[in-house]
Amino acid sequence: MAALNLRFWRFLPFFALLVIACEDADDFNNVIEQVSCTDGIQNGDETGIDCGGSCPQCIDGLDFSGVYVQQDIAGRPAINSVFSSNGPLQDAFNRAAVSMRSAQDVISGTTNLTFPQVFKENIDTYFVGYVLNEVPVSFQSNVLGFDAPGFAEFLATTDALQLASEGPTTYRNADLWFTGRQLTDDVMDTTLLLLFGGPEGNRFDGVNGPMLISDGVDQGNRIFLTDFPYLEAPLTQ
Amino acid sequence: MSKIYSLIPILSLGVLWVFLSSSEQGDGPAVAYTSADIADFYAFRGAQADKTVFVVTLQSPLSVGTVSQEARFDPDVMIEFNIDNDGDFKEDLVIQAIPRDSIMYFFGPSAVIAETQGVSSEINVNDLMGSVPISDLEETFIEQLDSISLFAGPRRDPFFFDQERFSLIQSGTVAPEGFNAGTDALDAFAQTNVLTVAITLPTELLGVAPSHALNDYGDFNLPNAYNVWVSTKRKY
Repeated sequence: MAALNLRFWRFLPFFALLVIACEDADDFNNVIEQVSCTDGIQNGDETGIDCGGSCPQCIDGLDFSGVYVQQDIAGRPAINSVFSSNGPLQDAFNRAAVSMRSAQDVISGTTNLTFPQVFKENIDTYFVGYVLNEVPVSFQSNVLGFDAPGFAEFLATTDALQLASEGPTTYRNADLWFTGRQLTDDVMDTTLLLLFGGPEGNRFDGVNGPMLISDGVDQGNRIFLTDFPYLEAPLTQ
Repeated sequence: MSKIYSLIPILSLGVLWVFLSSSEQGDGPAVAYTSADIADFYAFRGAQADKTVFVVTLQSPLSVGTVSQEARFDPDVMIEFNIDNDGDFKEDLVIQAIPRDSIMYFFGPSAVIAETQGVSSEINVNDLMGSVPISDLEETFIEQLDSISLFAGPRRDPFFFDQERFSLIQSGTVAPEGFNAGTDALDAFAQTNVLTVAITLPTELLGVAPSHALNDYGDFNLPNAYNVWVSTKRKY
């Protein structure tokens, strides 16, 4: 019995090599058969069909089906809340595609009413009750050269953030306009400047009439991060 | 006495109006105070010059404490970043984000063909970009892929505005007076949180930017720029 065991252990390394060789051969065949992450079968290092391992993450078992319909939308900051005058109009704006804002059929219950017209009417309303040098005033062409109808048309029909592919990002910084929006940009002052500031940007600046071109607040004690996700941690107290 | 009583309904309506318009976008009763309510949208060059960052904030305002603690993304609401790179204000690329359990899944950037542009969308399940566990008030999770970073969760609201004073100006209540200055000006969002979704990706994934939209309106000589916006879309 002891002699038999001795003979078995003497040959074990050879058996082991034979097994390893067979496994290597099988793996070699598998590599040849795995062609891509889109072949419809689970192979290679995938943990599901065409997913996991070196392929995209598995989402099997999760339901992402169905049709999703637009509820809300945002391009430039606060355009809808500043320039649409009531709830139904704001809802219609939120449900319309950007490219449809000048169409006549996106505001239900009305005929021939478009968002450029809604915005123009609202721009005029902002000046009711305001006087300069004791004379009632209305919108005056702004620093971008827009008159009231042109400003309304621009805001309503191009309502997206313009995002420059190169160079610095700013909502507005001196002569650089609309290259994106940073967390620190005082966007509401820019909107107010375009609405109330007139051609030189100094109309209603607190000296020439009441202050309407700045709301008087800045980012305060917010501290934005210098890297992703850039946003300050949530407040807990 | 009767005069005071007769004012009460009017004053109540006034308070209600100010309250309803106190969200920063404040733009639409149908969506206000729902999980689909977008507050703000940011798009900027990242810390690395060849990267672009998109940030959306939702469900403003979340007061500190229980409200922030219990705020959740809605699994029936898909958040869609839209990129127009040919200047027609129709989306050519979309990046979609939607939660399942405690994870936010991101898909795209996916090319959008003309037939599917607009207000209705399906999720581009074949374009999974990655996913990230949704952060909470205590823990921050960031998914760092090769050239893409993903985040979803509550953060301090980055938006600042004297919303209350603006509402009074908008309604004509305080004319001919204007905004306050100094300590009289109050940032309505200084002490509130929002739900946020953020993504950083290589700008080259957005394609070639078209001529800046404002250049059509004057001699501005602004650099080429994509038109980008964010939408929320609910499953029906």
